[in-house]
Amino acid sequence: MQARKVYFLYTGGPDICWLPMPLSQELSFNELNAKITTLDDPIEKKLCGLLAEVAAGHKQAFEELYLECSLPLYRVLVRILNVEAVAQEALQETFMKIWSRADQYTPSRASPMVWMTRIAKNQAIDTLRYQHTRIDHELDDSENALSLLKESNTYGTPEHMELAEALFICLDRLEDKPRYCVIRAYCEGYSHEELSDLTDSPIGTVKSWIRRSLKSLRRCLDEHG
Amino acid sequence: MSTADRDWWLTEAGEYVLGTLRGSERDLFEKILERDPEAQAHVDFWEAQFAPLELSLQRIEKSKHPIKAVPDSVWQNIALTVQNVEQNREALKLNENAPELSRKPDLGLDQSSHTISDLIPPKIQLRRWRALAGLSMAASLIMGVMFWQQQAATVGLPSDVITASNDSGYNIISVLRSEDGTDLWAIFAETATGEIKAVALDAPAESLDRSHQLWVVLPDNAGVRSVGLLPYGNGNVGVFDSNESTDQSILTTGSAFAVSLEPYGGTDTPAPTGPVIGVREFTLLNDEI
Repeated sequence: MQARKVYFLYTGGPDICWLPMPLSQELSFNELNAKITTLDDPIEKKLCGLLAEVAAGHKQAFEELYLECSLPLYRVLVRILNVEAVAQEALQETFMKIWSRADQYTPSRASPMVWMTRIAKNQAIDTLRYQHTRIDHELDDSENALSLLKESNTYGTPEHMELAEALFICLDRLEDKPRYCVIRAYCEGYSHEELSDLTDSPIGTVKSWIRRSLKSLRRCLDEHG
Repeated sequence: MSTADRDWWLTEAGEYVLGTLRGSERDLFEKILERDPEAQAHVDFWEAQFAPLELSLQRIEKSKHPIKAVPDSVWQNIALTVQNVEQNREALKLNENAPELSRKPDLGLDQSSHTISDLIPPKIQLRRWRALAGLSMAASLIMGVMFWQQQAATVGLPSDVITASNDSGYNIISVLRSEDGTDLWAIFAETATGEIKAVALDAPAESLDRSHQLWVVLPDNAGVRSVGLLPYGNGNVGVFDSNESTDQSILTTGSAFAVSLEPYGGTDTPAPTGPVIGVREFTLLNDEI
């Protein structure tokens, strides 16, 4: 297997994220600069830079990234897995994946935290394959799930608030049970089978709710985009 | 890419982000993501749109859950694993005959070093190896079925059917759906042999007082031809020879499948006697499948 060599683009300023680039890519200076992504959020800038360093194998940056991100990722894992000891093991696996896949992160596609959260969630889902028990959470009450999420979304960057407002408007437009399934699947990693049990509905109906909800959300989000 | 195709990928990406895409379906989708920027763009879209929910949850949890820190042992284990991996890499580098290694070997598969896997109880490890063995088999199939899946996706075939039906000889596929959108049966057919295969998805329960009969609808108001009785029980399969009762292949002349509700055992009449509960046009896919 060939070594995955990377080098960094010189950025010259704190506002620009460094991108790991394969050596095989022959790019001009302008082309290289075009690949540099700028980010507005200072925390994201920092995480993005750390990920780039992790991609080059810098252990100190990896530790710093861990210090910055382990707690929120751990909370995601505890939320889905319910058992802290299991979540800790999943967190270890998550960070090893971040370590080995950091060079695959593309800033223009997703924020660093969104990218790492996806890795953590997938890890949790994989862990759940071997678990068959769940403890319900705050979102158990379908009536309150959306309002609870809305109430907790009271501040952020203007871009975030705009996205949040559109999302909550569009979720509001879904029927109760489909919305409940979408929220619990996303927030707590519930499978079709589990949602079928929770809502006392056939699994085919749950699948249909989710797919139709996604189509409906897409249309609505486009309207509000 | 057609609108139907785009919609299918969009919802598939949405399910991936929601986390409801599981097992081999998710593995396959991730393989596709690696090579399909449009599918990746759909994932990016959903990731961005749902991100506010994640932030809300983090705030709820901060205020309600007393998790203030991650135990130190977690980082210690991670650091130890990274260190061991790096040491092994360095050691192997010294061996001139050793092949060049990846800077960071895939830890879950690395048997030569002390990894997180070493810290996991043997039972869990066994399950993991079984899962990995399954994954490896799935990966070897992926390339073979990729084209089939892309074709299948164009007619809105559900992903679980795509995964389950890797029969490359079939060049007609269709899904019979109920009014509420439930996928009842998937129909696969091969024009060359006239074989039609029906797979029960979320089919109605079997009953002793009625049967569901499959028909091919011929174009230009030329009527219908009975195919046979559809199977019940999710995953059950019925195979029919469409050339058996006709001197021409109804598959090459037909344009749609229909399902009617008939008395138990079906009807011998040339047309349905009970209500037609679904009609679905079918698409003739490329011969190269």
